Amino acid sequence: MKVNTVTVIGANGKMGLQISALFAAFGGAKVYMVSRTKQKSLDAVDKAISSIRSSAIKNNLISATYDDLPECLKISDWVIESVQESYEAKESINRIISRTRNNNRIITTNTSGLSLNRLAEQFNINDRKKYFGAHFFNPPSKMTLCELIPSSYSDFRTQKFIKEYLTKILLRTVVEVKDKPAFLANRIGFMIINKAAQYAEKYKRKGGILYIDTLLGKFTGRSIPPLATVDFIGLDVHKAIVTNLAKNTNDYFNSNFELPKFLEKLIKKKHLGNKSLGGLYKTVTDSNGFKTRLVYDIDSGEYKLFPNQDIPIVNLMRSMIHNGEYEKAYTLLMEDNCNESNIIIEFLLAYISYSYSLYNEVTNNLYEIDRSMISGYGWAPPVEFIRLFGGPSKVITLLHKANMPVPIVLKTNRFSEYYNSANDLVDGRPYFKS
Amino acid sequence: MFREVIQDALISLNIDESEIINLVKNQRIAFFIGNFAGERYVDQGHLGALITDLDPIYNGVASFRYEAACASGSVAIDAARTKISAGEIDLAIVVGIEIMKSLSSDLGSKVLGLAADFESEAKDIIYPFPKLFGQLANIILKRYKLDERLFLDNLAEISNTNYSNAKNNPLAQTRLWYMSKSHAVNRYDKFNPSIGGKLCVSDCSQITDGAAVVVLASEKYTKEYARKRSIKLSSIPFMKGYGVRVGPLKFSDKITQSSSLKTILPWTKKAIDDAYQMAKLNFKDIDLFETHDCFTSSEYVAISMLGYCKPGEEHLAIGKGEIKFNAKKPLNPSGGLIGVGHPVGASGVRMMLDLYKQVANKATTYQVEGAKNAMMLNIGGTATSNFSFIIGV
Repeated sequence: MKVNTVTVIGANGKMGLQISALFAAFGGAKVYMVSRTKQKSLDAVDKAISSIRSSAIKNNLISATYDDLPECLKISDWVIESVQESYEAKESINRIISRTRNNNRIITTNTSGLSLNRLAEQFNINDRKKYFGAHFFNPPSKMTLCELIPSSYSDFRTQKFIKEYLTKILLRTVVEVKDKPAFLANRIGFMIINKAAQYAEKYKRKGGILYIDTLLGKFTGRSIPPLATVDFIGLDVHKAIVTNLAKNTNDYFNSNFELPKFLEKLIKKKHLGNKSLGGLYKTVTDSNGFKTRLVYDIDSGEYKLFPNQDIPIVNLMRSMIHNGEYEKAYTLLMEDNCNESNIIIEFLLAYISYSYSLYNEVTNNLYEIDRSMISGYGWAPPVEFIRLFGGPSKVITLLHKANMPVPIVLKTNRFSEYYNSANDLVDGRPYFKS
Repeated sequence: MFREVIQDALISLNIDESEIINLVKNQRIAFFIGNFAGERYVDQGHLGALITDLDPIYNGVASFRYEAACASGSVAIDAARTKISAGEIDLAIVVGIEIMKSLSSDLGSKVLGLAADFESEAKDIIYPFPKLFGQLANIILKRYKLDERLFLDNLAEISNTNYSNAKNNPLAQTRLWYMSKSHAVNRYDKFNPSIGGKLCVSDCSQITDGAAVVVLASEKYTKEYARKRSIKLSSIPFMKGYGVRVGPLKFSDKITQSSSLKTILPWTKKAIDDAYQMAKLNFKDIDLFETHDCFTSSEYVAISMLGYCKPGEEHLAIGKGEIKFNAKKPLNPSGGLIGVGHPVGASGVRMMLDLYKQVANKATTYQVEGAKNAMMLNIGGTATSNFSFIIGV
């Protein structure tokens, strides 16, 4: 099978246009970029070219509208739906796709967490077999993860082909996951991020958002602190994902998906993050062009200058990470007994506990859990923290002490074998920054 | 980074702390740090002494920094080789390191200008090195009387080949970047602007933070090392030949000197020939090459100097696909400086590490099948300091 012609529906969206660029550039495919109006599609073509930084793909990108869609669907080898994240929007597109016959095409949805089985029901038997979730992460130039999700109707040979194409041609890190809410990386990531938001509210008098982002900063193995990530994602998108997870999951960490009140308040005010006039953080520019970064003060409901966050354990750990002394930094954290250290440890233990508790439920491969967090979030993988905390048995003791569930797999030989080989598979160091 | 590469090297070689302590005590170990401009990029000079920061076990060890612009890594290797040959030490740990992203590209390019004759070639010039290697492109065109369109197409092919090879190298900086021949030939465009005369962004190597380590050992130590670890001595790669030559600092002086010759950079060629002669090997014996592609024009001239063809016939070798990964003797299977990145003080060490990986059959995803001998060319400045090494088993 060859992928010569691709149609991307919802191509004017942030992900739609970047996915179009990937297929046009790395795949060399002709891509029909479909949006509501011709102008939106023309703008999307320009943005797609900029996203890949090459005019060489210009001739591969064709702007189109929904009027052109029936023809595009007939001639396409791969149809990608990347419209708004709701059953209503996606099901309505699926119905349009199903009206056009083409037995050879692959159809994928860029959903970040809706049920594939439900979405597949809009298709006839032939299309259902070739329908999958292919969930790309933003920005694809840095985050290479693509979660591949079959429905219960999916054809295995087609899945194999898609996996190979995404891996070898589009250079994605493909992780096959089960059709569960928010799949794998977002389920783990949003639990931590929303828990961080809850803690910002809980500690609003101690510095709130900045306090928690300082405690869970880059030295805890992430390229952006968790609450700054909410601004990048968009507060409305964050709400949609955690609401879905709160409703459709039922485990120890379920309460961590409850949206804190201050986020609800900001959403109502249309403070949706980087795409609007601010979110949890905000940058203001004065008449001289001087920029000041402000942070939302949960208590007063106003944006304020950054309060001083001089936290000794954080300063010490950052300095050690700067010197490449990872073990020393985390030994110090374990030996420290201040409130801040306890919060950091609690989050990292929750990260380990939740990640591996999804083994079997969402994936049957331990390595895929670690790979997902690296390539989808740029976070140091959970196995790295097990190593820094002194190994699986030490972590089991710590989880008991923290009254957190110990994932069953953590006690098995399978995990021991994986842990012993993880040093060769995963190098978590590049994800720690001072 | 400094700490991590040294720790990783010792772990991968299975050399433990007690062995290091013993070597330090008997003064049989030394560190050689290749670095171009730490004091300018990160306000830190005296990098040799930095080793004592890593662990108290290194107190008392001989550890010094070596500098020869982009060949700083190679001059450190050469110093290590010399000290082992003189019988003064048994183990030499050579670290190449450079932090470059600490400065904006304008300021960083000014620092790189120090590798030229600063007064006449770099002062008050933005991006001096792309301009100097752009001049090299003009000289190639003129001296070999080439068709400009074909020549620029060849440069695009060099760029595309390096990026393609880098896709298979898990440590390459550009492995996820988009590059194609059609992008590279599309010159003077918004996304591929001119940066030095005819050279565009696609012709340049990458500004990178990076570090690499190679460990050299005396014959006596190697035999003991292999015996203790039950490793076949013949499987351990060794240095078969080297060539070291310094030419005039100014680019224009080099060109004046070679004006009557077919070879544009004769001192570079001499370093390569010296390495071949010492190893008693020639082009046909080498299975792969790693060359200094700081710009596509520097790789272009290297093609004939390494022996792929006569000078002036590089376009034929490129046209026949002789430098590609699947050719008999791939050039830059790692992706080179263009594909991997060019942390200037580290590049020479990185090249030697890649030669080692290839002939030791440890290059995994970019392994050249059956590689026994490999050669590298690392240059500093405008091919002023020239180093060539041959590693084999």
